[in-house]
Amino acid sequence: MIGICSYGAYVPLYRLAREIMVLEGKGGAGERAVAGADEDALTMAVDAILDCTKGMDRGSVEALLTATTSSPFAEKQLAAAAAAAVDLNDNIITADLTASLKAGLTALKLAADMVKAGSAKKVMVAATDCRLGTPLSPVESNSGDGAAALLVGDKDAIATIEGFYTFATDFTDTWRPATDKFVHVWSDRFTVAEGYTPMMQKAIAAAMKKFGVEAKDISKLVYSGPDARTHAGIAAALKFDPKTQLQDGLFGVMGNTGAAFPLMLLVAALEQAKPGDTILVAAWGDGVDVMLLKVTDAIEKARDRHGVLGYLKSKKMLPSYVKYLRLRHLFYYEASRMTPITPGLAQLWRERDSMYKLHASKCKQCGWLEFPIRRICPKCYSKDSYDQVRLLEQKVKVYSFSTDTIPTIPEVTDPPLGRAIVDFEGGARLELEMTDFGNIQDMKIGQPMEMTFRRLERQGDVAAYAWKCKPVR
Amino acid sequence: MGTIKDKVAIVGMGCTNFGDLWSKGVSDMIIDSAYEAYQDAGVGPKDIEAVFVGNVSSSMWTGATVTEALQLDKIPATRVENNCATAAEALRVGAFSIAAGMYDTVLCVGFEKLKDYGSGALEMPGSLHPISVVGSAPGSFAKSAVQYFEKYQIPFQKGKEMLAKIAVKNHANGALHPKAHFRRAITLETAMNAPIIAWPLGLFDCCPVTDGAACAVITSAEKAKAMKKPHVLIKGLGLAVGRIDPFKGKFRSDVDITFWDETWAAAQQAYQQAGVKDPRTEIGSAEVHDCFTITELIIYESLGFCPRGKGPEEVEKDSFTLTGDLPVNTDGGLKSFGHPVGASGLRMVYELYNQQLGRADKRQLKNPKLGLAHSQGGTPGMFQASVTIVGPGN
Repeated sequence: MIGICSYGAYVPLYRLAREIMVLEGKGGAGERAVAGADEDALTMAVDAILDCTKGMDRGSVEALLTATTSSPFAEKQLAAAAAAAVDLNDNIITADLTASLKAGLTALKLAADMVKAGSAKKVMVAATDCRLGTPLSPVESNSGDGAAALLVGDKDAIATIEGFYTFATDFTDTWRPATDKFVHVWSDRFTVAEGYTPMMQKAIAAAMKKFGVEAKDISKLVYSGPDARTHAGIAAALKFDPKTQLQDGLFGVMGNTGAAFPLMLLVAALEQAKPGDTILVAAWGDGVDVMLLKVTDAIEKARDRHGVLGYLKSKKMLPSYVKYLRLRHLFYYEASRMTPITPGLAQLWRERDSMYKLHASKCKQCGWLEFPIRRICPKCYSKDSYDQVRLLEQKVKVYSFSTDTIPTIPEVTDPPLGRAIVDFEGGARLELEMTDFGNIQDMKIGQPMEMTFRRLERQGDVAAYAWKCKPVR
Repeated sequence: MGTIKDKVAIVGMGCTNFGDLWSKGVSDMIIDSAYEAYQDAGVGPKDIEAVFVGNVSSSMWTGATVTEALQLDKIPATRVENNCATAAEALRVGAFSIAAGMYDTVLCVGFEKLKDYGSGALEMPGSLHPISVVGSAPGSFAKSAVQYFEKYQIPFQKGKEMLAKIAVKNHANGALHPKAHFRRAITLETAMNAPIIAWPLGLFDCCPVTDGAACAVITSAEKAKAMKKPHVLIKGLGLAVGRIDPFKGKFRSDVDITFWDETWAAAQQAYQQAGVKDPRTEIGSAEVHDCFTITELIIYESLGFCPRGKGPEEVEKDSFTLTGDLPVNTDGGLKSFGHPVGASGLRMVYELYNQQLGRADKRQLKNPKLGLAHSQGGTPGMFQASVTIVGPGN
């Protein structure tokens, strides 16, 4: 049976309390997830895929579909960049599904169809978003940043796909012009009353009729929505018990994560699901997609993921609204007067195995491990005689560390920059940036770290990414 | 390997004031330092047969920056670059050209104009491997301090205080030099409470970014003797370039960032040429590359002035102050005199030269013995290190 074989998610470390999202007085309740200064839709997708494939061989993945409305690139594929970073094979199908908040669930459906058609045995679906609302707007307050990843295949499914229903419409409630970085919304008196509420109710009811199920047959109803109040109305109207049958929308602890939202809520539901559970998931945006899933016994094998709920537990509160603006690059420090020196595209391309795939060279003659890949072994001087070794899966600990207040390139940094030299268990040692480290005085030599794919602080027109380290979450 | 000992003499030196030289361009600095050296050596522009030009980043190409400034026409001019060891390199290759018998009178120049670019610190350019080469020099050396404290179990506050003592020493010495960038003494409290630049290093743990130039006129030992001019003789020239490029390479697991391997290797070359067996007693004073206080601490050990891990004890005993048994950075070092990258190596030799010739005024040592100048470019684990030893003339 075709279904979801593994799940993973990523919620960034930072949270912003809505009560401080104001110029004066007190803002709303709860908190939203906020991506770090060096995170974006690409980097979060990579972290979610790593969570989804924990302990697995990624070499068997034959396609990657990424869904997002906030790709750092208007032209250039996010899926291909993510595939390179997580070291998938070269001969796989990659595609971005963009521009709609329901793109994540659409991607899941297309992935299942690809498996069914035989074009790929295993398809990775990653939905990711880091959307910007205009400062102090309800969209900014209600949104959150995050990503989900689901591996689709026809063997060992943890949840089989039992049905799919969809309708597409040109209804406009939220949109972003191609030239704008902020998401806009029309008056919710209109968009909710005429769009979201009736269309979601109608679509879910029609889907249930098509699947031959009633509300009492569903263990968990999972769906996206613009805010907590609007969201809650749907389940009640469809006669679901909001207390037992509704997947919490996580508005109070995470926020609406855009195209990633339906799949992140699905991951949260899977984290708590029991074998035999029936999950109905619906996604809103330019229409509605609805999918019916049945959880299998194999769900028990997928319990060691961070998932959405796991990542939500590890967090750091932002001290101020200004800090949030800083992390989203909406509030600028005076830039360093240095001319940034950017690696050229040809250099990035030549060095991709070291930079993106994090491969080291292991000497075939004497076994010496070296990063970056070096053609001449520093120990036995054999030339061009090495195997490439993946460092990404290896355990990492800190050899030494510091901060650095000097580089303040406004595009990506939130000074002070963290720097570390880390040792991989296989013997490689390398110097790189350290991110999400909190208070430097709490760091300890020898403490375990993990690798995370982030934006570099130096870049010109081309976004440059590389692996950094962070304390284990 | 052969030796350079007693083959080459320095017969004149010049050095500009170091500092924020807003009113002086590159040409002005070269002219000011060169004409001081000319006058000292009793030579003029027509006597210079070849020039070796040390500069890192303030001239785009060739040695013509110097021939243009000094109007030296159609003579050999060679630009050299070895990161922070650049000026030492200009002197080193200049000395070899004299020792080879090619020229009688050679000018070695080092200069750097950093302040025009508005940079607060030397940032490392991202190059082929931007994954590793990020941030500034303070951030690179700070990690050595963290690892040094851990390795030798030095409590954090104690470590900060020890590093601050090195800054206090260098500021006290620099206050006595009329050409130094910062000519004021500082207190331990000032150093320890300064803003953090790259944790755990604070402002006073870091050398400044400086404009300046320094020059040497060199000739053969025989010619210097015949001229009957005051001079010093070059006793040893060591240079060790590591095999990890600081603008590219990452780290190797056998690299120890609590010791400067390349400095050790360069010192051994120079000691061997100079016949130095026990540097602690035979070296009278040393000008070392104190880009950061932690750098100077580890230099004591890497030059063999004390055993590994014993640097902190020597700091506690004031061994390297002006009145200690081996004064280090008698002119204030990079910390107080300033660090125009391509000039610093020759500035160091300028101080040793003045100490040898009894011209060091309030900083004058009773017995300068042999003088040692040490430069190292790069970052921990990936250095270009140079050691120059000079001694009394014949």
